[in-house]
Order: sequence, then structure tokens, then C-alpha cells
Amino acid sequence: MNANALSILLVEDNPDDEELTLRALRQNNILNQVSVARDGAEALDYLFCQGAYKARDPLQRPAIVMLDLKLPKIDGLEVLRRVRADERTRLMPVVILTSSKEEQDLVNGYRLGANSYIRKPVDFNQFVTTVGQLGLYWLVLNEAPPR
Amino acid sequence: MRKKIALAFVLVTLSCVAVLGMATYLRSQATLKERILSESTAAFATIELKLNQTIETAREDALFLAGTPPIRGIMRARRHGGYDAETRSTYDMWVERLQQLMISQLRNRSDYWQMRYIDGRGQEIARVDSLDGAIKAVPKNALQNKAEHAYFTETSKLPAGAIYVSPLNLNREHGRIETPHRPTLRVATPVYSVLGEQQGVIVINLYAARLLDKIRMQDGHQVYLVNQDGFFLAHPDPAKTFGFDLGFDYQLQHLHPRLAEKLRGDANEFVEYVDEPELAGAEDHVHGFRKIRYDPSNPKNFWALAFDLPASVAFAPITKLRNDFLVFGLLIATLGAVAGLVWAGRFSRQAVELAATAGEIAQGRTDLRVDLATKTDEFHALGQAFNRMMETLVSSESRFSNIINLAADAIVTVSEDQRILSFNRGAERVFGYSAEEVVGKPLDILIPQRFVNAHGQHMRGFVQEPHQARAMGNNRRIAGLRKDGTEFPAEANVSKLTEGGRMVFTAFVRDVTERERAEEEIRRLNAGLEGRVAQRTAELEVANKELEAFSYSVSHDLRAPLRSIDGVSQALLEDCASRLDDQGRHYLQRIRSSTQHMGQLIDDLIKLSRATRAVIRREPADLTQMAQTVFAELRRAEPGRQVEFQTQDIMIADGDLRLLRIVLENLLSNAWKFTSRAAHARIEMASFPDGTGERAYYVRDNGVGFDMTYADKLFGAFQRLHTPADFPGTGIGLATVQRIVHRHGGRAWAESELGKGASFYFTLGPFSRPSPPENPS
Repeated sequence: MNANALSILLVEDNPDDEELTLRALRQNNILNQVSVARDGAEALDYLFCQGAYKARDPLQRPAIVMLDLKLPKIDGLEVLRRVRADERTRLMPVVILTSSKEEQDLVNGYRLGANSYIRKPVDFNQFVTTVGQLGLYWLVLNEAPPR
Repeated sequence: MRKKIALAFVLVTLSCVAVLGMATYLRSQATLKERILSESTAAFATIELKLNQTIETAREDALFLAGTPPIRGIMRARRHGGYDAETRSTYDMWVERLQQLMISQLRNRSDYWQMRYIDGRGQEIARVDSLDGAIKAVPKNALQNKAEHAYFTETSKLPAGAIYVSPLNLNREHGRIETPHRPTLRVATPVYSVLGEQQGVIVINLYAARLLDKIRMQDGHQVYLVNQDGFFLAHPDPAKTFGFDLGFDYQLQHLHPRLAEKLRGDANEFVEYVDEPELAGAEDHVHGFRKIRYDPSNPKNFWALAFDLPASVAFAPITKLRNDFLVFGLLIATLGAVAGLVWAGRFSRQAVELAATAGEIAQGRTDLRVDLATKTDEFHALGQAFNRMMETLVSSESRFSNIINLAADAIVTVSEDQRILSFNRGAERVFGYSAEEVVGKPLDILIPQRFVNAHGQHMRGFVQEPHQARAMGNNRRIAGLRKDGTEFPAEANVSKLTEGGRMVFTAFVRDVTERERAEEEIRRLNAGLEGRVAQRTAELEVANKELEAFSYSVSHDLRAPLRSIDGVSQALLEDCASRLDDQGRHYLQRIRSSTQHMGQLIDDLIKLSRATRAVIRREPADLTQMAQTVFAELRRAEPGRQVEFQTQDIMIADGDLRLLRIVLENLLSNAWKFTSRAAHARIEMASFPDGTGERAYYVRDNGVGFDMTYADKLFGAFQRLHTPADFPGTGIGLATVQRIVHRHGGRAWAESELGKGASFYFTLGPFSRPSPPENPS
């Protein structure tokens, strides 16, 4: 399986974080295709090939979704709930990547079926390390569920 | 009265003495009688024993003699014509040897008077007599033939070793009774040759006179000895003995027909108290007997010791006892009578005086007291008690009337026909009437007109209740009517008492106007308070929610820009490094370290707010384990440092696990931090009882310490005693510690000296465990 075929969906409303995340991926030599959705609604459109993404190939599913929680329109936890509720995306790996360390968010994230919960560190160097480990794990080490 | 008391005294004393005396006498009499009767024959037992011993000794002597060599020698010599070749002895020599043996035996036995060896044909062969102290062998020519005597014929029939005891009779010589009479008893045993041929008998004659002497007098009383046929062997008049030998017919039968009849029966022993009819003039007497069976081979033969005593003699101890009782009883009764008379005199006089005093007091002279000087004993005590009672009565009466008068409540007594009997000062105040104005008036004047009927009905119902004294309708709310016509709310207690056959009601009436107003005020205030509490609670809830939203937002939104600043600075450093000089790179580093510090501040603030909001779930927490875990993390973060760490072996606290962990993290990381310059860094954690029933825990280090002047600022948020350049930190850690400790109901404090380390203490509140934490659903 060609690693380049594995794409990433980054759901992030903050352009700074988006840029830093992409930078961190790059610095870790994770060169997979990264799609970015800037709010919850767009993320759902992308995943379910609807709205603006109607033309997208439904078979092209991201190998991993990096999901922020605090999102405009539809928040991250709701996005997660709908992803898990849909047959097509039920098994899709979703990693919550957020600034929040609130217990409630952690509990709800895992309860709704998040595969990981990662808190973005303020220190960029730590952030780079974290994102690198994340990509390494989900894109290289982890065997993806059958499509 | 005096006579009555004295008489009663005498009667009581007399009857007591009589009853006690009679009971004791009767019981003692019965016991004594029984004992006398049983002992009268028991005394005979010693005589019987003596007789038997004598006979037994004679038996042993006879058997001994029968087995001695001379008997054998005589038999051998007779068989061989007068010469015993075996021992080269003649017949006469053997007879002489036997006589010598008999002589030596007789010397030792004062009871014996004759020993004989009689051959198989009844001819005496050897005979030694002991007469009046002289012992001598009877010459051959004086020997007699005794073949027809019973002791010979009977003994000859016996087997070897058996014994014959003859009846006691008078000795006969040559067929005639010897004089003076010699009462004799014979003990005999047969002699057999080695071939088993009967070779005559050995006979020992016992002189019974000495024995009979003893029998004649027993304790000065008459005792008889009779044989199985009722003939006397011993009798006070010797002429009446041995009738069967001397040929006259005088037996027990003639003296005591009843005893003679009993004697013919099987009983070995008999005692009887004979109650003679009074008219016959004969005295009551005691008689009885005890049989002695002296001849083991012929149990039909016996002697009987018989006695007959006048009851006065037999029961002399009983008579004495009765007399003693009588004298004693009379003495006591006399003493009782005298004492009774004296005492009764004193008693009646004092009683009369007491009664007089009591009577006067009853007339109303409550100041009167009993004159104790003239009273003795119980009357003194009675007088004292009486006086004490009067004191108590007088003081309680005055106290009672004071209470009634000083009472704030109105106390009104009312007669059965509803007229006012008394009206205390409280009533005057409450109703506005003076006592003079209302006493004798109907109660209705104190009740508003519209309630009069209802009240009347109520009272009538109360009157008919069966209880003698009872409270009516406790704390019943009623309305009262003052003199000025105004009404007031009141609480009334009415009780009913029967006083001298007439019913009296006592009403306690309390004006509750003020109280009702106060109650109303309290109700109003309470309602307002509840409203305010509800409002405040709602406000607090809103504030709490806002705080939560705020802290969430801080945690999420405030960090995002910081991360951007840090990330972009880093990107700048990496991507545009060539276009920046050292100064520029330094600035960027400053930006980055500031953003990271702010990130730390935000994290600590969130922890603080969480400590404030969290629900405390107390459970046992192993602080030793927890401290070691935290310390291990510190060590991992800075593996280069050498810090000695010690904890108490077992340290179990009662608190919220997550919050306690935050406390230890803060305290231990502080200690870690402030010992960074110490030569030998040392951190210790332990606990001790703080003296108020709680346990105090502490973390102690040998770091830089702090100036106690600022100790009060230590636990405030954002308060720092060191510059960030010296020791990094946000100043929130100890505030969080204090917040958590306070939430547990404990306290936190610190002790230190600059340069000598610091100790941080905390407690966790009373050691009571609340209900177990609920399961988060």
C-alpha cells in the first residue's frame, strides 16, 4: 500500500494552528495529503461527500481525522458523534487534537469513540514532537480498518 | 391509755415467751426422750461386748489347750497302757504337765475358776481349780465323772475347733448345788486324736459373779439379767435368781408381764414408754431389754438385760428443762410488765403533748412548734420531723404565694358556679382589673360577649369529666376581654381540683399579643429570607456556570494564540535564521519563554479553579505511595539532581485522591525547586497528631527557605517571594494547596527560616468519613 495514498483530514478553525500543524507534519516528514476543514459543518460535508464536497470520491477516505473540539457551526464532539453514527465512517480513526484539558471534554471524547485525545502543548517544539509521533503512529504503524 | 399500753406490753411479752418456750420445750423434750430411750439400751452394748470378749478369750484358751502336747501325750500313754514310748513319759507325767499348763493359764485369767480335761467317757482326767486366789490341781481320787452333764454331751457332738457355751447356772459338785452359790458359765471344745477319734473335751469354767455385779446397778437404776426362759440371773434381790436351779418359779413374767411377752418375740431390742392411766395412781415408766446371744452354736439361748424405770427418773433432764423454761418465762414476763408500765407512762404523756400542738397548728397557728426539750427517742425524732415539715410547709406556702403573685401569667381561680375566687397580680396586669374589683364576680366579665356561650358549654363539659384533677385543653387559644373593652389573644390552661368536696377551677391565662406579633414577624422574615436565599443560590449558580465557561475558555482560547506566538517565533528562528542577527534571535527566544510561562500560568490557574469547583470525594489515600510517585516524576524530569527523599512508612489520609495528588505535586515540586542550590538536598514527608484530634502532614526541605515576615502572603494567588530569575514559578501552587486543604476542612501553614529550609504543613479536617462517593453515571 502506498503511504502517499493515505490522506489526513485536519479539522481546525484557527489558521495559526492550521499552519503550525501543517508545519509540524512537514518537519516530521509526513508528506501525506492533508485536507483542511475549517468548521464542523465543512468537516462533515467532506467526510460524507456532500455540499461543497459533493463531487469528492466517496472511496477516498482519510486515514486519520485530526479533530479540534472548539469549532464554529458544529463543534468537534458533535462531528465525532455523527461520524460514529454513520456506517461509512464508523471505524474511521479520529484523534482529538485540542487546547482543552477539561476532564469533561476528555470523558465525552472517549465516550463518543475518539481513538486518541491529544492536548496541543504551547511549546512549539513539544508540539512538533507530538504531531510527529501522532503521524508516525496512525499513518505508519497502525493497521487501518478494512474499507 | 397508759394501762392499755402496759397491759398490751405484758400480754405481748407473755405470749411471745410462752410460744417460744413451748416450742423450744416441746422440741427439746422430743429430742431428749428419743435420746434417753436409745441410750438406755445402748449402755447395755458395753456389757454385751465385755461378755462376748470374755467368751472369745475362753474359746481361744480352750482351743489352745486342746492342741497342746500333753493332750497328745495323755492320749498316746492311754493307748499304750499308761506309757508313752515316744517321749518315754508315763501317763501320770503327762497329766502333771497338763496340770502345770492349766495352772499357768489360770494365773493369768481372773475370770476362770476351773480348767478341765474330761475323757471320752466323761471322766475328769486333769482338773485345776482356782478358789479364793489359791490355784491347785485336784488329786486323782477327787476327780468325778461328768458324763451326764450337758456341757459334756453337747460338746462331744461338736466338730474339731467348734465351741460350746453353757447356760449360766449355779455350779454343782457331785450332783448338788454348791454353796455359797457359784454362778458359772462353761466354755468347752472337743478334743480329737490325729486319727479323728473323739477323745473327750476341754472345759473352762468362768466365774460369772463379777460380771453380774456390774449388771446389777447401771447409773443407779435397776437392771435385771434374765435367760431365754425368763428366769432371773441378776436381780436386786439375789434370792430371786436362778429359780430354775433352785427349784422356785419366779420369772420376769411375774414382775413385768409385758416385757416377758416382748422377750419371747424375735426383737433383739425393745424400749417402751408406758403411760399409766392417772387414776391408777401408778407412775409412768420406761422399760425395755436387749438380748445377748452368747452361744454361737445355739442361737436359741440368750440372756437379756432388762430394765424398768419410773419416768421421773428416766426423764429427769426433761423435767429440769421444763422447770427452767417456766422460771425464765416468768422472769421475762415480769420484766416486760415493769418496762411496759414505765414506757407507757412516758409514751402517753408525749403523745398527748404532740397531739395538742398539732391541734393548735391546725387552728391556724402556723408559727407554733413542738417543744423538743420534753421529747425523747422516737418522739424527739417525730417532733423534729414535725417541725421540719412545718418549716417546709410555711416556706413552700410563702414561696407558692410569691410565685402566684409574681407570675407574669394571669392566674384566676373560679368556683363551680363560675365566680371568681382569686385574681393574682398577673391577672390584674393582663385584664386591667384590680383583684377587689372582680373577686366574687362572674367569670364572664373577662370573656368577649360572643364567646360567653361557647365558653360556658366548654366548662360544663369539663365539669362532667370523671377525672379528679386534670388540665383542660392545654394551651387553648382563646380571646380575653380587658377592663377597657379591648380584646386580646390568649393562651389558657384550665385545671380542675376538688377542694373540700367542692370543685375549683384554676385558669392560667397568658396574653400572647406580643408573641403572635413576633411569630408573624418571624414568618414574614423567613419568607423573605427564603426568597433571598433562593435568589442568591440562583445567582451563585449562574456565577458558577460563568466561571466554568470562563475557565474553559481560558484553557482553550487563551492557549491557542500563545501557541501561535511560540510556533511562529520558532518558525521565524528556523526559516529566517540567516536574516536575523543575535539580538533578533535573542528577542525571539524571549518571546518564546514568555509565552511558555504564560502557558504554565494558564494551566495553574485552571488547576486552581478546578480545586475550587471540584466535588470532594473522600476516600483512604496512601500518601506515602503518592509522594513517592510524584517524587519519581520530579526525578525523571531532572535526572541530574541528587536529592535525598524520605517518607513515613505508612501514611494514610482521608481525602480526595486527585486533589491530594495536586497538593503533593505542588509541595514536593516546591521543595524540589527550592533545594536546587543546596549542597545535600533533602526532602522529607511525614505526619503527626496535631493535638486537636487531627493528623498534620508536612513536607520539609533544607532549601533556601523564606522570611517568616511574609508567611501570610505565602498562600495568596500570584504571591511570590522569589524572583523568577532565582526560581521559576507562577505563584499559584500554594494558593491551590490552601484551597484544596480548606475544601477538606483542614488548614495549611508554613514555617521557615531564611537559608535553613522550610516546612509546609496541612491537615484534612476531622477524620470522619462521609458516605462513599456516588458512582458517576
